[in-house]
Amino acid sequence: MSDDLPSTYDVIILGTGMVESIVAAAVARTGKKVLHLDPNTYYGQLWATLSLDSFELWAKTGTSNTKTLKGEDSFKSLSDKALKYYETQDERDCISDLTFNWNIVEDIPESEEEPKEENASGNEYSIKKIRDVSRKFNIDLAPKLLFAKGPMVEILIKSQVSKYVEFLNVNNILIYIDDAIERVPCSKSDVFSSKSVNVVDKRLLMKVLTSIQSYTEESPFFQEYENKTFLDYLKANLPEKFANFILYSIAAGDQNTPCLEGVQKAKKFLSCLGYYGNSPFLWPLYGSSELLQGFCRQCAVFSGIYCLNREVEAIAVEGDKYYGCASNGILLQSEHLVVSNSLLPQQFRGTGPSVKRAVLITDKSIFPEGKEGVSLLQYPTDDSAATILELSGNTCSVPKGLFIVQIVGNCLEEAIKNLFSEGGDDSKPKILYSLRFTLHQMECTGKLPENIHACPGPDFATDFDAEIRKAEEIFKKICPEEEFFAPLPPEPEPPSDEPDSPEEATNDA
Amino acid sequence: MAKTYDYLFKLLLIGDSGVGKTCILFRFSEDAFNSTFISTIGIDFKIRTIELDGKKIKLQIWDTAGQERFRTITTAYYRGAMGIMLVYDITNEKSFDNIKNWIRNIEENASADVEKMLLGNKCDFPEKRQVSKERGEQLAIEYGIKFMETSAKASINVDEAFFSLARDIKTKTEKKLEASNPPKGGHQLKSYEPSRKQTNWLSKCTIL
Repeated sequence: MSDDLPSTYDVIILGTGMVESIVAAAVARTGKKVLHLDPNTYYGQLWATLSLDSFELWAKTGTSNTKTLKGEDSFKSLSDKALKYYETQDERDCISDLTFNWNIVEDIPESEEEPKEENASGNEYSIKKIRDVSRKFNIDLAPKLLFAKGPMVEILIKSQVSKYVEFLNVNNILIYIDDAIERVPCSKSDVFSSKSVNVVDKRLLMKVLTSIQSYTEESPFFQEYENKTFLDYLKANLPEKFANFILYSIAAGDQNTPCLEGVQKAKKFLSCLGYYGNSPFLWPLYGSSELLQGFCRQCAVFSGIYCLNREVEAIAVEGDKYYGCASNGILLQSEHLVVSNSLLPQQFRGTGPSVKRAVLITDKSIFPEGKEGVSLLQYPTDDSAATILELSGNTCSVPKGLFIVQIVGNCLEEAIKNLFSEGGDDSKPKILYSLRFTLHQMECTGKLPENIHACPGPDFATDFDAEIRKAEEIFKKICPEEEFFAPLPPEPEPPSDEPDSPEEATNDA
Repeated sequence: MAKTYDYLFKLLLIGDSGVGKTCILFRFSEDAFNSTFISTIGIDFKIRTIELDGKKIKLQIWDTAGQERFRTITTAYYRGAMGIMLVYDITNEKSFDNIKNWIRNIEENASADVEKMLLGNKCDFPEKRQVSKERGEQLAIEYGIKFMETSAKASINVDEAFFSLARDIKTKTEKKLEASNPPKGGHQLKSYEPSRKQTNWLSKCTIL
């Protein structure tokens, strides 16, 4: 089917991860001819959002690297040129220690009528019943949030990719502290209206929030903490509980976060409040992969060619320059290659830092008194913190009545043990399904030809700031003269869109 | 700003490459035909507001942007779609056979209650016909959907098809409204510089 792929392009992009997809849209808008390939049948690689069936299949395929190297000689016949071929790798190497299991019965015998779907006691769920609504699940492999005023939102608006995606507020910002989950007062108005904070503490909190918000490089206020931690500063000015609120939830930091870094992160959080409701974060309906698919669509609208389920077996290099991609017995040629780190040939790929991740399906919210929607819970422990994201039915990521819980952090087992139950304890959400794995970041270690641009996979940050920066950096190398997502000329509105054009309406009637 | 329409329907065009989806879209939205559209860029969606029973209906019709070529349509394309035009080319047997694959694709990705309609395009080309009208009708009956033969080039049945699909969606929507479940939904990003709204078209990113 793929034999009719044209053989030359300006840019070939290998992998449909977030950075690759943003680059794809950005370069296609400048008029460059783009071919975008992915070895998988779905978009996103390790950034994908999958239905339950696909997710289970993904888990079953597990960590098995199915790649068999063919040897360089098998590509020699593709071209008369003296090319050196580097065989690509499998993204599965980014996953290790993957385990999963269902914690409910396979099936409930037909005889028992179950009219009350709403009943939340997990005993009524069966694997079959949940699998029957597989398509109502959109499970993220790498869920991330958007800062309401962050670079991702800015680029979405500038590019107009925003028209492809809808968002919800992250409406519960929570912290686990003193063996309980508490809502974090984020804004000054939250602090003001909070019933759980006494008057004295309110004044202290207000003062700290104001100092953080008015922080500039010259702020004398923080200078004495230059070599100290953010926690040192907070503890000197606040009762411990509120210091923790700000450190973990607002600055997303830990005990070791330096003071200035903490202040900057907290300031960013606070500066994002109020744009889309009283929450600094947005979450895309149907999951994170909607964003990268939006960028891919835009690339396609600008004549980019898309081909999934299409592998590039090797990257061909001529001298010190990238030449083309060997794929399905043909050589596809381009000026530039943009490639996911996870697919880089072994000569260029190294393993970077890793983090533990878990995905749970549960029957109850961790914070039932909160608003339905998206909850972000920070779970600090003595030496690190876990970040927990819970999605309810109105996110279009999970059927009504169930919840998807995404946990990132090396202390996640402790969080799971304290927040959820495997059965028996009805006061906590019951785990119906769980999947755990370790996600390794792949890094580009070797020296790549300068017309190959490597893209990082998902990192462990909660936002997309680093991805946007990286995409812009790559874009600038491919199109040094162009503006990143330069505005498009306005499209003339068709006459039929004119609201007050009576003759149109009568013509149509 | 007052709303200038009563309903907004998102419609999709689906079918093999080269069956004339973009041409149908242009015929309906701009009453124009150009056989070289295929290579033009920037066709995302087109809008036409029609009137049915005194209601203004804004039709937002999305093109596949060529992503059907290797069956790489994004799942995001199907989100929120209320109606789908399944298009084949009456001079191309293969495009007709593939309709069942597209139906499967729709079932996997679109909402279960999406309205569908089958169109056999290029009916101005009888001498090259490979798919009889009866087979088209038969297939439509099989799937319980409406069917028309169209020609974007000769402007046959294009308006009629969209009006018919829009009417079916309108009927369904009004029935749902009567049953009154308020629609859920997220919000669209808006530019956070309202002062630029008048002068800068950038802030127009929320067309919906």
